[in-house]
Amino acid sequence: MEVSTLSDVHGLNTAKAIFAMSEFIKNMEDTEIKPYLDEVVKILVVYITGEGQMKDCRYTALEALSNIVVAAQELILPYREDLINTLYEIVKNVDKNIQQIRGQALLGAGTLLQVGGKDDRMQTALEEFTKFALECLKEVDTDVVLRQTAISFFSEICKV
Amino acid sequence: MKILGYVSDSDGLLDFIKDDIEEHTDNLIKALNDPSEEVREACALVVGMFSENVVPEFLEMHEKVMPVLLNMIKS
Repeated sequence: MEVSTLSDVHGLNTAKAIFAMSEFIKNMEDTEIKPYLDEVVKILVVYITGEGQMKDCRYTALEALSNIVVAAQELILPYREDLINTLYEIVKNVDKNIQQIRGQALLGAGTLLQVGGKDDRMQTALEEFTKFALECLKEVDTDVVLRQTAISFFSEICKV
Repeated sequence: MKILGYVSDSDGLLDFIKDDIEEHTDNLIKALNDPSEEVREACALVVGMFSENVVPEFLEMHEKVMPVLLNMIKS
């Protein structure tokens, strides 16, 4: 599936559409989400992984992913491993220009790990996420939101 | 449309929206397909507001709303 943001205005509108969908889905029952889950996950992954996408789109898509995981609960399990790997690739990218995006990916990872429980196949990813979360907490200059994100991540994985 | 979104946040007026939610949803969907990006942007905002305030009635319209939102994101 190919999607692209043609201009800044188009990108912002796409981000708003993703936000609208995210808000809609987060209040749905898992049985209501089921018919759309496959398509929603595919679309979000395209926006999350598209390095050419506007930051707003990537960030909003990551936020949407967290909401969808919470709403879908165990229905997300078939997608979990691939999603964790996708988020892992974002977090291990040390480009400081995407710190906010890395933070949101961390939050998504925490939510995914909490829904599915412990899985030894994700040990490497879990270590990388934990390492990044600790960096966020230690850095005095880090955005407060990033530190809060790190705390939320630890709160989620404590439930695993 | 935007005004309707803000009205949905009002406890006193919420019932008026809920009573006619099907009609409001149909109008919202039409506006989500408007050629103007500004109109579509405003309607996306209203979807967010309705999703938070007009529950569960608006969410029960998911068969109408979700395909339109997915289309907007893909286009």
